[in-house]
This record gives sequence, structure tokens and C-alpha cells, in this order.
Amino acid sequence: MKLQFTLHTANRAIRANKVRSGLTVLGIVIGITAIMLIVSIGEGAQSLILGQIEGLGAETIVLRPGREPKGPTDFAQTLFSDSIKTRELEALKRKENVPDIVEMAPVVFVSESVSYQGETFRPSIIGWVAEFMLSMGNITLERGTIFDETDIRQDAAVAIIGAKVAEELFGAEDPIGKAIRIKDKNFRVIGLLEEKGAGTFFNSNNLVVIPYTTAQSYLTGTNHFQEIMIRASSPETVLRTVADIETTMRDLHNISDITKDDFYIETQQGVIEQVGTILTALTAFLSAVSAIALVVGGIGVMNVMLVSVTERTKEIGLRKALGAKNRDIMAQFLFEAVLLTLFGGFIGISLGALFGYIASIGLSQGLGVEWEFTFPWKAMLVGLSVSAVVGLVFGIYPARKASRKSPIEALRYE
Amino acid sequence: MPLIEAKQLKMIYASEGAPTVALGGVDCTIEKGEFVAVMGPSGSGKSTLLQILGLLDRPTEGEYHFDGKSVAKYSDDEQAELRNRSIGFVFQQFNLLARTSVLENVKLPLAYSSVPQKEWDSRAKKLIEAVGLSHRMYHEPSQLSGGEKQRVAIARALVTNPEIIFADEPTGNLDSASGAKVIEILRKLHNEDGHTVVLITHDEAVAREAKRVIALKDGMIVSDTVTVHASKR
Repeated sequence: MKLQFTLHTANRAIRANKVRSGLTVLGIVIGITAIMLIVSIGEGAQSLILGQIEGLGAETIVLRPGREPKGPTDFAQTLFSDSIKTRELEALKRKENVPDIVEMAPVVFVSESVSYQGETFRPSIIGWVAEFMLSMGNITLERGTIFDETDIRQDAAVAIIGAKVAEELFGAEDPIGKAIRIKDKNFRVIGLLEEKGAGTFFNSNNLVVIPYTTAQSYLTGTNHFQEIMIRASSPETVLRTVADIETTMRDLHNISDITKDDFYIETQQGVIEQVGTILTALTAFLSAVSAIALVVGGIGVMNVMLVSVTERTKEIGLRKALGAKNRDIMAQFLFEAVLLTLFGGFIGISLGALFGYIASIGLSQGLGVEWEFTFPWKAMLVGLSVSAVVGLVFGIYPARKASRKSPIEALRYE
Repeated sequence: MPLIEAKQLKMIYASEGAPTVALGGVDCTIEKGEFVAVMGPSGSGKSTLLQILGLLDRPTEGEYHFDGKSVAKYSDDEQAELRNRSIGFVFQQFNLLARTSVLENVKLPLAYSSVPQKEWDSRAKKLIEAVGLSHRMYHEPSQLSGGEKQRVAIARALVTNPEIIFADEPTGNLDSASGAKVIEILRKLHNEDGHTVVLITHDEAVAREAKRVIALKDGMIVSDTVTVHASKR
């Protein structure tokens, strides 16, 4: 039978029962919509997060103590490992060891509360280097000043605070110049960070930044760093710098077997890959869940096609009497099923894209970030082919049943 | 060579208890260009005979040559092809596709044929005109009278230009005026275009239009008469 004619016949059969056809494809519509939406949001999240990580700079390298974490218990070991101290920092500073380093910032995490005149708040306290922080680009100073190398050398009790911290502790009051208390030690607030959207990867609103030397001597009482953030001269020198850092660290710690390393190095490239992997896996998992809707939808299509075959027994008999072969009848019903599911797929893709777009606007405004809407072309192609396949798979049984009817019995059917 | 040559056709339906004999060994030969009426009381096996001769059903036993070829052993698809090319059906129930225009209904057999698609419309329109329904071309069956429906069915039966038309009580559901018109068309097909027509009827008046009447009773042919008067008209 001619393809065009088969399509025409299938199309007319679907239109003859508009409401039923619509309800039949609802499962497919929901499934495809969900997949489109998930992939669209997933891709948006990925580009947002990656954009922020890339904002840290492709030339940023992070050196951490301990083994590279491979499981949950390794993280604790990293946190308490003390293999990176001032000695290591000094060694890395020497140009003959690592020539391509332009900047380094040790990081000390402090787990304490902050208080001001009876108000208490628990921010993220970081002993850091203020210049390095601002040079990353996504944290900016709103008012006041930052601490410099002299402050760091002298263990100055000064702090730069985020917008949320200022609001919690000071309310409408101007925090600059005021003294806040961290673990029995007074810190003078010298700078206020600009408020950033809550969705940002690195939430600067919650920060209290103090010189890392001050954090060590007054708050943690330790002499090691949780990490050292390092900036190489350019993205091209990152690999060489990583190798130089490794050599320097191994020399310093007398490590000959690289599996015994007591430090590990992360580059932005590595983080980007990790985040990409996680988000892809998450998107795939959610898509798989919504694929269940497709299977359910497919069963619905099969059910309705079976009813349709029974209802149209007489038509099948007539077509056979007029010369339709088994494969003609098979093709007719299969086309009908596929056309039905493709139709559902189209609606699903449109709805999914629409909801994805609405979600991107909502997320942009709700989180105060630049959430980019991406039309998931791949998901669209997958959605279309999956809906066609669902139609084929769940249409085959009813179509076969239709094609095997004997012409005279079908004609006699009442 | 006869168009249809059937020998010892038997049709036995196995049912609980005693099997039902619908045809008990029927010999039947029909030449090209004949106009045959098959008569008999209900249950005499005339519909069964027509269905077997029309390749809609397979006999339990017997030989069947259509146009010199033994078609009893043909596969379903081969039979479908032969039905499409060489056999036209007109049913008592019309069997038109609902919600489908007259033109589309008449074109339906062409969809299963090797006729090129560009010829479909002209062929169908010519036949719709021939049965006097040009003004109904784009109407749907529900908008037609019984007689008009049957004329559409006749146009459909003729659209692949078959060797033979089988009509199973084509006037059974029609009033006498519409019935007469349908019979008139069938007679014209035979007289003017030389079509072979096999017609089942209860109606003596209809049967008289045919040149040969085969009478069945209890699955056997009881008479096979050639009447001459019809041709003299």
C-alpha cells in the first residue's frame, strides 16, 4: 500500500476519535514533557555551575593535604591531615621550585560562631588572603578595605564580612569599624562584601574572611592549612605547575612512591569534569524515572489500539475483501500507533520546552542568578525517537492481531 | 476456458455436536461474460458458495480453478492480490467506510493495487459518474440513501476493472425502486460492458434478469437453468 495513503488513513482514524486519541497519548506527553524539562533544567544547572567554576579561573590550582578522597571516610582524613604547613608554603613560593606560580593563598576553615552585642550567627569563617579572594572575580567588596600582607604577617584581628552576616549581626547599623567576637577574640570589621544571589556556587553572603595567620594562632590553634589556592601564570602553564608542585611536595616529604602521596591537587579542569559527570548522571537518572511514564503511556496506546482493532473488525474484513494483504493491515495499524505516539511526543517536546523556559525565568528571578534556558536538542531527538519506538513496540501486537483476521469472519463481525 | 471451474466443493463447519454441512459437494462452472443468479432458501449454502468462489473463504474440500489457475492452495496474500485484481464484491450491507467520502470509498481498492496513484482519482470519478452519483462525490455514506450507497459499492467493485463481480443480495436492504436501479446497473454492466456477474437473490423478479439461474438447497445444487428471455430485452 502506498505510504502516503497509509499515513492519510492513520491520520483520519486518529482524528475520528479526537478525545480518545488525546487521552491515549497523555502518558506519552507526560513522559516526554518530564524528560525534556529535566534535561533542560539539568543543562541550565550545568552551564550555570560550570560558568561559576570557570569564573574562578582556569589557571587556579588547589593543593590539599591527605590522599585524594575516593570515599566518604577519606574526606575526614583530608580535613584532619596536617601535611601542608608554612614550610610547604615557603617551599612552593621559591621560584626555582615552581616558576609559574603568580599568587598563593592558604585557606584555613574555622568552625565557630560570631557575635555582636548579644546577636549570634554561625557563618563560614575562612582564614584566607583577601587579595586572592577579590582577584577571583566573583566576590567584590562593597565598602571598607581589605587586609594586606602586613596584616597577615602581624596576625591582625580584622575581618571582612558578607552581606548576610552583616544583616544578622548589625541589622541596619553600619558594621564598618565595629568589633565582632569570634571565640573570645575581638575582630574589627574593616570590609563589607557585596550581596550576591543565593544561587551562586560559592555563597559569599555567609562569609567572614580573616587573615589565615590570625585564624591559626587565635582560633584553630593549629599550624596547617586545609588547602592552598594557587594561581598559575596562565592556563597553559597549569599542567607544568601541577607537576612542579608535585615534585616539590614529594622532595620535601621524601616520597618516592607516588601512591603514598600525602597531598593531592585539583585543577579547575578536574572540577569541571567532576561536576559535569555528577550532573549528567543525575539527569540520566531522573530521565530514566520519567521513562517509566513512557512505558505506562505505551501500554495505554496498546490498550486503545486493541480496542480499536476490535471495533474496526468489519473495516479490516472489508479492506481484506478488497485486496488488502496482511502486511497492509499491519502497516495501517502500526502507522496509526506510531503517528499517535509521535503526536504525543511533539506535544511533550513543546510542553517540556515551554515549562523549561518558564522554569529558567523562575530560577533566574528566584535565585538571582543568570539561569540560561537551553533548548535540549538531544533530548528532543531522543524523545521523538523514543515515542516512535514506543508506538512501534506497543503497536505491533494489536496490528498483528488485526492483520491475522480472516476476511470473511471479520466481515461477518457485528 | 471457463473463468470459474469448481469441483466437489464441500464446506463443513465443525461445531459442538454434529458438524454442519454448508456445502455438500458442489460442481460449478461459470464462463466469462455470464450473468448468473444464485437462488435458494436461507441456509441453502448460497452465501458460502459465493464466499468460496470470491476467495473470501477456503472450502473444506474440493478443487477450484479461477481463470485456469488452481487457487485453492494460494497463500492468503496471493488470494488477496487476486481478489484485488480480478474480483469485485457488492454486499447486502454495503460495507462502505463511515466518515469517508464517496470518492475515497471508491478509491479504496486501488490503494491495494498496482495502479499508479495519479490514476486513482480519474478512475474513481469515471465510475461514480457511471453509477449516476457525480453530485455525491464528496458526501459521506451517512448522507446517502440505501440505493445510493449500493451504487457507490458497485463503483468500488468496478474500480480495479475486475473479471467478475460477486453480489450477495445487493437489493436485500433496498426498497423496490432503489433495488430496480441497482439491478439495472448490474444488467448494463453485463450487457454493455460484458462483465461477468454472479448475483445472489431471494427475489424471483431479480433472478429473471439473469441469463442463468442456479438453485441451491441444503448445500447442493438442485437446478441450473439457462433462461433466454432476459437477453431478448
